[in-house]
Amino acid sequence: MPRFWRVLLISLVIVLLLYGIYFALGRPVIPLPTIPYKVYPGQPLHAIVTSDGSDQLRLTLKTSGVVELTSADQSVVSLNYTPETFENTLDLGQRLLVAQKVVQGNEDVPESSPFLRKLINWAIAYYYHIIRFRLSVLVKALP
Amino acid sequence: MNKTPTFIKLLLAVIMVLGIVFVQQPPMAIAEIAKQEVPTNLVHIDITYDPGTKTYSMGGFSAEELRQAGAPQFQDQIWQVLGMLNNATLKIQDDKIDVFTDDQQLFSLAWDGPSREIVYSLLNAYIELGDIDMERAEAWLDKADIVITLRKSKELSEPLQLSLATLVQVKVAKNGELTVEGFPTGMSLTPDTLALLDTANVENLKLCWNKGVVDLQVNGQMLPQATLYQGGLSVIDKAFGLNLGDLTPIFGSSFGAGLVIGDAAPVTGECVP
Repeated sequence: MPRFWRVLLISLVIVLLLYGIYFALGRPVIPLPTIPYKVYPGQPLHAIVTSDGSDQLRLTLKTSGVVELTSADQSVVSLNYTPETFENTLDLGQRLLVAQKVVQGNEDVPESSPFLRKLINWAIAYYYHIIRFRLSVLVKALP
Repeated sequence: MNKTPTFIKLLLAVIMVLGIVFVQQPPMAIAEIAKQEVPTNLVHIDITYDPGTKTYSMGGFSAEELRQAGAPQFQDQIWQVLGMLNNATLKIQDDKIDVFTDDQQLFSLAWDGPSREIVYSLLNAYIELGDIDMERAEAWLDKADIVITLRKSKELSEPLQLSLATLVQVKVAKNGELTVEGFPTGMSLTPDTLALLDTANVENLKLCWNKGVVDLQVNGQMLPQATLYQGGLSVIDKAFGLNLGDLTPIFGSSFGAGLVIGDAAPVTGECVP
C-alpha cells in the first residue's frame, strides 16, 4: 500500500477512535476560551451589567442546544433549542423581517439565499449532534 | 507481513470501541407514558383584608402592588359587610359549589352539567357581552378546582395557585379588535402590527407558561424553549426600573393562551407539561 494511503487510513482510524471515545463519554461540550468584553460607564449595557452589584454578565452558548445569560452565579434566562426549533426561529425571523420591509413600503426587500439557509441549518445540526462546544462572552463593567 | 496485522489490529480496536459505544447507548425510550388524568383548571386565590385600613392583599400581592396594578378599591358598604365576617370560602370542586362563612357551611349547590346550563342561560339573559359559548364554558368549568378564600387579617395573602390546562382563546379580528374567550376587551392591535403579522403569514400562536418555562408555537411550529429565573429577573427589574414586585405567584403558576389572527382555526391542545 502506498505511504500516502497508509497515512490517510491510519489518520482516519485515529480520528474515528478519538470520536468513539468522545461519543462514549456522552459527547460533552468542549469549553473554548472565554471572550472578555468590557463596557464603559455611559454605554447602554453598563446599567444592566451593574444592576445586581456583580458587575459582570456571562452569555454562554452551548452548541448542545443551550444559550444562557448569567449574572454572577445567578441564571437570568436560558434558551433551549434543537436544530428544528432553531430553523423555525430563523424562518419566522426572516418572514417578519421581509414583512416589516413590505409594511414600511421599502422596495429593497432582502432576498434570502436557500444555500445560506441550508448551510446555517447544517452547521447548527452538526455542532448539535456531532461535536459540541461551549463559547462564553464575559461582559465586565468598568468602574 | 508485519504491517498488515498492525493495521487490522487498529481496525479491530476501532470496531471494538465503536461497538462498546453503541452497546452503551441507552435504548430508545420506550417506557410507557404515564396515563395522564383529565386536565384540571386549578385556581386557588387567598384574599386577606383589613377593614381598619380598608386595604386588601390578594394572591400573594400586597395592597400596594395591587394598587399599582390598578386593582379596584371597595366601597364603604362592602367594607362594612367584610368587617362583620372573619372569613369566607367559596369552593367549586367536582360537581358542587360550597360556601363557608366563619368556618360554617352556608350553602351547597349542585354544579353538574344541567345546573351549569341553567347558569349559562341566566347569564345570557342578564349580561350584555354576548352569548356564552357553552362548549368553551364547559372546557373551563368541567373538572375545575376553584377555591377563593377571604380572611380578615393584616397578613400578606398566600401566593396565588394557578394551573390552567385549558388554553385561553384570544382572537384578533380582521380590524385588529381583541377578544378573549369571545368577550371583547376594548383593546386592538395597531394597523401596522396587523399588516406585519398578515404579511409574515402569522396565523396563530400558542403560548404556554409553566412556572417560568415558556413554550411558544407559531403556526404550529415550535420555537426554542425559554426559561426565566425569578432570581435572575430581578437583575432585569433593577436594570430597567420595571418595579415588577414580588413575582412568586406568577412563578408558581401554569397557564397558556392560543391566539388566532383573522379567520384561522382555533388553537387546540393544552399546556400540560
